[in-house]
Amino acid sequence: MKAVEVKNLSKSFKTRIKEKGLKGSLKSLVKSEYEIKKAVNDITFDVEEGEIVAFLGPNGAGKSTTIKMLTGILERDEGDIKIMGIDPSTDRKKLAKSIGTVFGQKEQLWTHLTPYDNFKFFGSIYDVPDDEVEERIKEFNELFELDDIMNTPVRNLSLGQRIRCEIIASLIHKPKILFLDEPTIGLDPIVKDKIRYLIKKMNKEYNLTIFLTSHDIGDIQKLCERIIIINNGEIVTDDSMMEIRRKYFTKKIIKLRTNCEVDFVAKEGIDILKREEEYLKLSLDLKCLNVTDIFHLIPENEISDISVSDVSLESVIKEIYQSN
Amino acid sequence: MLMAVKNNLKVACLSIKYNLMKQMVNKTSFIMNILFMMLNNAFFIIQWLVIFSIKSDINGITLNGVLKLWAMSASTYGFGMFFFYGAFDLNETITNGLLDTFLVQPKNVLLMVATSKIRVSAIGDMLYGLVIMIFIKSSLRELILFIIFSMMGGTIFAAFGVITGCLGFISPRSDGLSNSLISILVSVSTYPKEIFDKGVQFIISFIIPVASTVYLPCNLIFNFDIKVFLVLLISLIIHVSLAFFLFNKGLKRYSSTNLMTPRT
Amino acid sequence: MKKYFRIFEATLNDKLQYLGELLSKFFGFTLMVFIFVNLWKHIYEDPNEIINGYTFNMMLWYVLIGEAYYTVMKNRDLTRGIKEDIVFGNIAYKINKPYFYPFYCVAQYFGNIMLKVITSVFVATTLGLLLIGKLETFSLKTIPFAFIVIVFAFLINIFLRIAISVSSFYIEDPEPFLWVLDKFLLVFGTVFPIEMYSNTIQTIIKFTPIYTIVYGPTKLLVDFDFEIFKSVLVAQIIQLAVIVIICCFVYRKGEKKVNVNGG
Repeated sequence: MKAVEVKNLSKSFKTRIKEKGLKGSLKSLVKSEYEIKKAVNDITFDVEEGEIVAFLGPNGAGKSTTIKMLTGILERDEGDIKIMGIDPSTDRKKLAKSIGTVFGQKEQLWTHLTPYDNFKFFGSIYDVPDDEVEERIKEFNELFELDDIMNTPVRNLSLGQRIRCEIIASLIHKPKILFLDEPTIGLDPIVKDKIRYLIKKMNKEYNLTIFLTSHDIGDIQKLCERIIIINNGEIVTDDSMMEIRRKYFTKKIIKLRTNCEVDFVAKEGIDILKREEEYLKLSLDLKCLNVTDIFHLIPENEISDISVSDVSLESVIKEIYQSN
Repeated sequence: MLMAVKNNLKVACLSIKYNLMKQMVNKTSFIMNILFMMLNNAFFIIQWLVIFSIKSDINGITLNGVLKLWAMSASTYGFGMFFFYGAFDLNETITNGLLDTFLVQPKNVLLMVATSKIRVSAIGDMLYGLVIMIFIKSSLRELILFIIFSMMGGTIFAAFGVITGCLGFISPRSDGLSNSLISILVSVSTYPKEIFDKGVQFIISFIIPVASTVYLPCNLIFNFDIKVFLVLLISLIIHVSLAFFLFNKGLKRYSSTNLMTPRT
Repeated sequence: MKKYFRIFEATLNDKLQYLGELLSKFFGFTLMVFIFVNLWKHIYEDPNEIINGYTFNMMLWYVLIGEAYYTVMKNRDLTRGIKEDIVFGNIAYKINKPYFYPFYCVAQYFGNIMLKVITSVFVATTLGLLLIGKLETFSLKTIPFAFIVIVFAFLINIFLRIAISVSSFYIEDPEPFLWVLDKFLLVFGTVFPIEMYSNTIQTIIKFTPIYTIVYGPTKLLVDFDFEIFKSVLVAQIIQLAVIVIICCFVYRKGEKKVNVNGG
């Protein structure tokens, strides 16, 4: 059984339009004008059990709308959705027991209660028997290292500690698929790494399918094996990381420090990104040239430092966003 | 099926319990809220004392009658507002897309939303009702009936709150209307029905459930009549069923927002 | 001054978005008036009866106008907003801005109520004429005087509410005090003119905001009397000065207490 099956999914919203300023406000009192915006337009994709998928798109692309339809929050206009074989429209409660959700910007925990009490509460929500809840709390305690904070009210915890607790609360009922929306937002780099490590561990140990939305490139790079990009309500990319590397990582960024000002003229396959007195930043197209060809263009002895790197995933994604 | 109901109620009770604990963290604020609400209600006695000083009998209404009415009204309101406070700002909850959290949980959404908050001052209302009942020297039987009818009336009140709150599924600007309808119920219920003409009495019996929540129970406590009791029971069933029906229908139209809530 | 006007304009613009909501606020007002008209009908057995100087017609109009004031006065959004600003720490961002927070609130208040005031005049007049009939003791000549008193009434009202709300710096929840204020205003000045109370109580009331915020303006519109006008105005000027000083003092002290939680 596939974890997620989406076929020809569509959703539109009706929004009011108003002219600006005081005059516009007065006008809109008398007559309301609406426009219909198609937030999600006929999208189709599948996710296998155990996959970690990044679901990306610029703001307003239809990401949140799609996730909300998958998790049973919004009703779809057209198309089919099956999450672990369950239709969110008809079996919302059954679906709820198979999924976990962590929305980075909306907190679910009771702030005046301790993590322990919170986990017991969520256990009740998901009808998990008390002894099983205790077992899982112990399990997660070890994995997530919560000993120090287990009995501290949530409102006294740092953001990183809270997110860890949110993730555990969403896993207390051992769901098959976890929807994460901006889980590392606002966290410092060390904590981000820790959260990513834990997510990856969950995926390996429990074959947990992860459906991740994030604007953080690090999250995507370190966690995801597959990227789906949505823009203007349509899927524009659906590839494994390897495919994306093959298709888009076709350039190398070369940074050079030279002993003196070098007379360098761009040619086919090389773009000058930045040029200063003794510094050059170039982009080299691997389809035309090899990296070593750079030494034919600039004498070796004039180079005092050189660094060669891939284009960043961030710029690749930006390019994909902008090309649509 | 029964297991599911039991589990839903269990989580609802936990929710109320944790909300209460949360509110009790600040003891001063907690107690002040309750006392002030009792004081708030007591103010209206002054109003009636002034009225009765001008005229001691108004269309058969006496001070005692008004006190009984107030007790019932306060207690019913208090019960509904304490246990089901989430039902009363349902319109805003819907408009601000705050149903999301409940939709991803495997429990009855309406029950969870209704019990997701409590109103501390409502405890003051419930206590006030009891105090008045004791003050007018009610018997034990009358007190027990009072408590039962407060619970029934309070539930109808909450159901009415849900019914009006469902307007939020239709228009994001309808919260004014929802709140107005609720305030009619609350305001009118502290005035004896004798001051209104027949037309108004009809409205407050069958459209806005003032009769079911306050007038009928008030009479029943002191003049029990099985037929009237059955009417009350039917009213309770109708209101609660309608509330669930409309809410579930409305969920189909729900469109949540990307509201960012502060991490506090 | 200009920045306060911009705040007023922005708030008004915001409020216009929700005319429906505004009209439904007057629903509550209509309701209370309706209830009281019914109630007083049973109290005044004979419509020509005069109770404590008020005819049936005057009494109903007093309640109507009083309730209209009360509805416009309350503005819970603002006071809740102040409390939340302080409790949640948003006040830190507002302290940084180039305005004095209490005055910012006053500008917001007038933006909030502008539309309410205009609507209330319209609704109250219509409702009154429909349910009660013409106000026999009314005269257009009294409007300029009443206007002065009304503006002072609004100013005292808002500074008083800001002073109470700003106490959130010290106590977690100033709501109970706002309730008590509302109840005093309602029972002692709105539902009944102060003439309904004994002379002792009347004298006490004359020193309270009830006299200056609700009774004064309402009485002067219903049954204008120059002596009462002078008396109310003097009381208003004194009370306004006192309350503004208290408000600014409480705020300044509280500003120093700002303690905002880290992320």
